[in-house]
Amino acid sequence: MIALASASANRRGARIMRAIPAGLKLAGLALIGAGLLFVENAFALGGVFALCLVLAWAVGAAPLLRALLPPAFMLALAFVAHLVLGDWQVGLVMILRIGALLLLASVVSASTGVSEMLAVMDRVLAPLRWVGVATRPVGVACMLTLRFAPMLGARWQALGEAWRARSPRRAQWRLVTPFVISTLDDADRAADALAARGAFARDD
Amino acid sequence: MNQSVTVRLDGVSVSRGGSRVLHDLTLSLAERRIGIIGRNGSGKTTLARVIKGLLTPDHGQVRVAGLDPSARTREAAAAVGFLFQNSDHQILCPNVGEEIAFGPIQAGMDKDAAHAAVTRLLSAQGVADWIDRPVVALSEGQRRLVCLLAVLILEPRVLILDEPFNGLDIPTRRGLMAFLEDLPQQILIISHDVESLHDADRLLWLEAGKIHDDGPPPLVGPRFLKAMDRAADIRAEGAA
Amino acid sequence: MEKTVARIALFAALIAALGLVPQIVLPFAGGVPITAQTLGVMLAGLMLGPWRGAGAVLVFMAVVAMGAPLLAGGRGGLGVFAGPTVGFFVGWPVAAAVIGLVNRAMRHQAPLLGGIAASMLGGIVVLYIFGIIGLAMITQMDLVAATVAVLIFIPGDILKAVIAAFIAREVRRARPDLVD
Repeated sequence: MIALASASANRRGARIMRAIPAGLKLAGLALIGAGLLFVENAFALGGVFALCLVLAWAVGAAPLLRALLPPAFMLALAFVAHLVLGDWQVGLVMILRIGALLLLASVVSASTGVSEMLAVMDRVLAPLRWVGVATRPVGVACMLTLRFAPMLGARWQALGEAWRARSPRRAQWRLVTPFVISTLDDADRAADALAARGAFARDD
Repeated sequence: MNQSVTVRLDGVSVSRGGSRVLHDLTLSLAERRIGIIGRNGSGKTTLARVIKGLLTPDHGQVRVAGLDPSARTREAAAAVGFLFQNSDHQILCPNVGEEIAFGPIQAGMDKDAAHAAVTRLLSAQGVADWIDRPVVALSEGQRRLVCLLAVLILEPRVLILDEPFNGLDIPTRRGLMAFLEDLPQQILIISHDVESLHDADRLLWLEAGKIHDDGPPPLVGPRFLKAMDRAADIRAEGAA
Repeated sequence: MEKTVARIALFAALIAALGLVPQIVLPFAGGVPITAQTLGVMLAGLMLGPWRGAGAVLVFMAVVAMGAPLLAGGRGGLGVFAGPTVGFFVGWPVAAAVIGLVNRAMRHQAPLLGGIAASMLGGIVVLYIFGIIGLAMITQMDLVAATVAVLIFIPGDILKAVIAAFIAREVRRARPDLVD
């Protein structure tokens, strides 16, 4: 996540965005996004796009824009395709709409912490509990993933380095087997840890 | 002091992979501080896991505070706190605050109440600023403390620690021992380091899944050390 | 229950970790990385089965959506789902489920071949259908143009499908109790 941190953190825009409750931001994003899908007017979309750019600038999101380069490039290519095919207006509408969405989504993500998002997800899923669906395991699963991803990432890189130290050949796929096995072993141990702490225990 | 039996094993046997790990164990544990010693492979960790309820015995019964620990109930899970040998096998959350709050929140506590409880607990240890710290940023000794707090916040009756002093430097080890000394729970410590258990009320020596010796540390400790010396000598002779 | 949650979450973390492999970045299409992450999705279906495999992919995507920089290239946040590749993301869990189902069906007669067939059917045929439709919808190109645009990635994914089946076989041989 390109967080709105460090140099741009003290910009008022960033502070304001961070203060808005996550649920509100996400709901706003969903509504605006859905609305954008129905707008076909290039000028209107252009206006929205410009507003989004201003918003992104106001929260100090230069690094954020850098992260959007790959999809931006893809959109540009698609625009060129439309140009070649002779319907550049369609291409323009598309690029403005998706571009605006990308900017908005990125600003929302950059101004909302992961734990805030987790809390929103918990709340959104909560009604499902009335119909008997277990929703708490989802939050626990997300938490576990966040906890173990850095550890597994480091292990994967270490495996690659150990291999490269011993062999000039790039046979990285061969390392995946022990990596998968060690991960599944970790899963069994994590399951024990969950049971030990009383996760998913019954109430009687 | 009136000591009631909190942990009771009755004819407990456990087999893993076709071989017997625990043989027909019958135990009543009432003492406040109990050490469980033995060689590698003697069944110490299996015994600990059976008492915690992570393993169900093939034969026999386990009761902790009258409850069956392997029943997946909140009461049973909260009754026994368990500290795994390796902190990495225990930690479930990215940062300290979440890790300690995990147990209470899973038990149904409100998130804000849990946060307050965690803050209190950390402040009492003088490390209130750890609350948002990622666990990866802590040293092994610090992580072990977090794991311990994450277990203690559930207020267990019995606390089981599997080799808790491994890998700690001497000051940290002493600090942990002092910390444990003040806890109100009944504490079972698995260790191969007999010296660290000299203050225990009772020492259980497990050998090949059976109780080889059982008594106060001044008696059992030296016998154990002698046996270990002999075993080391025999091994050295064999290698020579 | 704990085992299910733990396996799903740890496999999601594995998918994340595989995204850290130094990628081959194609200069075409704006530096889209070719990574082992798709391999992770295929393995999820092969190792965990259709439902837990799809679950692992969904948890992975949820965590990325929440902002964790776990998508190949250190990317995260909602923005990654708003682009032209959104169809592929929608298709990922479906692919894992299809891979799991086909693998289960074929496992007993032809373990390795079944694994390859499962990975290709789910990880390429089904996934690309979603991806192409998504691409066409977002960029408002016609389906043929969208298909041509993604053709270049298919050989790499075919290779990954084969590799995934081999890895799955090795894991199953080493630890049959751990997998679906």
